Amino acid sequence: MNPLHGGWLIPVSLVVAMVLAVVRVEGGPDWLAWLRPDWAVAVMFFWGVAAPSRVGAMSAWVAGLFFDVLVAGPLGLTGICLAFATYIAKRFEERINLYTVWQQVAAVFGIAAVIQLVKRTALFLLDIEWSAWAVLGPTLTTALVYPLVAFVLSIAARRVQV
Amino acid sequence: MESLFGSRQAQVRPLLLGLTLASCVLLGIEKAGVGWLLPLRSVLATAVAPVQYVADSPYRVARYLVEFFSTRDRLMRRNTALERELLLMKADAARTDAISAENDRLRELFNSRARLPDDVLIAELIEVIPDATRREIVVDKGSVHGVAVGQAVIDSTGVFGQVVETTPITSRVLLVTDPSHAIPVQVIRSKVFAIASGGGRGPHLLDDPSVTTDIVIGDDLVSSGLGRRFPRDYPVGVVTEVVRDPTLPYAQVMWEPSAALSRARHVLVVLGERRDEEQPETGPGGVAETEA
Repeated sequence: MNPLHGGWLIPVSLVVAMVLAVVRVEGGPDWLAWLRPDWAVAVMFFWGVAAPSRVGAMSAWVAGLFFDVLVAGPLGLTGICLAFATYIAKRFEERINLYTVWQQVAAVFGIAAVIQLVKRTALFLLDIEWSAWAVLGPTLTTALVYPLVAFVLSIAARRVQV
Repeated sequence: MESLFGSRQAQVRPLLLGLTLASCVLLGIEKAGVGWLLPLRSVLATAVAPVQYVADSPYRVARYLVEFFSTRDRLMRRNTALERELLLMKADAARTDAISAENDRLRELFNSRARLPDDVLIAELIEVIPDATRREIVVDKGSVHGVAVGQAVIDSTGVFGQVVETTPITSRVLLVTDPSHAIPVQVIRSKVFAIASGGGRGPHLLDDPSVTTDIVIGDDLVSSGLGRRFPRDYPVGVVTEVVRDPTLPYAQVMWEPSAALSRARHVLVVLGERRDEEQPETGPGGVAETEA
């Protein structure tokens, strides 16, 4: 089997996650931003479970740099969050693969909660306003969209044989 | 299987620790505010520019479609309306020119330097930073177009914000309503100086004016030009509420920005004073000299 066969889907899915991370609803209310799922975490978690040999903490960290400049955040913050999500996914890959959908949602909820808490705390240390909603909102929506992300990506992954 | 699993885990842990350390170092540099990461940011931000355009494309396509399918009749009517508006604007501008010429003569009497008109560049919004606690946008003009960090950004109705980061093709603008933003202003009516801070989602306040300061609801605030970052006399906002509590040392003055911060798609980057005095042909503005 060609080791690079279909592997391009992973960066492509990350680019789609980047677009979704900044696409906006013109004239939408402020709090809409708190309901934006952390697409990058959902995508990297999926690949950590579905293709653990193709992704690693290092590649996740580098991908995070692009997310950081995209949302004008401090460099390295998204990187460590994605590296953590990928590491957990790879570490417990066999167990997570046996989980039901709702157990997976719960797992993503837990990981996203830790990640959002770390993110918001780091931003607070860099003098950006703390907000509990900014932790809770994305955590909830990330967990809720995960089944959809996993569904779409697993179909795509099967097509191109990642 | 178990041993394979174990070995992978053993590899990842020091890596994760190293990455955490790397992130902490980067965050520390960011916190120190020394700007060592700016070149790296600029390169990465240039790389993500296509993503910003793609994310903005629904609005671009929608505007294009609206234009494409609007009827000839509607376009004609719009054209007529715009022509009329242009005529009125020109008349206004002519009057303003006369006034500013008179102003310059008066300034000459006082031995002050005549104020030059500012050179501006039209830029279009391509991204709104997706964080409800921050007020920042990204526009489609960068250092190759002459945009530099610190330049003021305005729209047709007032001061928008300032450029805080540039790449060759895009730049990030901090809006006047961002919690980390403050702009020196002057109340037109009473000539009082103040500093207008952004409040993010909350009310935007003037920085601690004393209770006796002459400010009332409805006062217009213009940029004072102190601090030399913003050009002076551009509208910044309007005072919406004044609370004078005798038990407090300061009055609470709330203001609302006059620029259409959440609706504008096009903004003007103020590149600096127009350099007309040195060789008008080769000047970056390329605008013919008309003043006497």
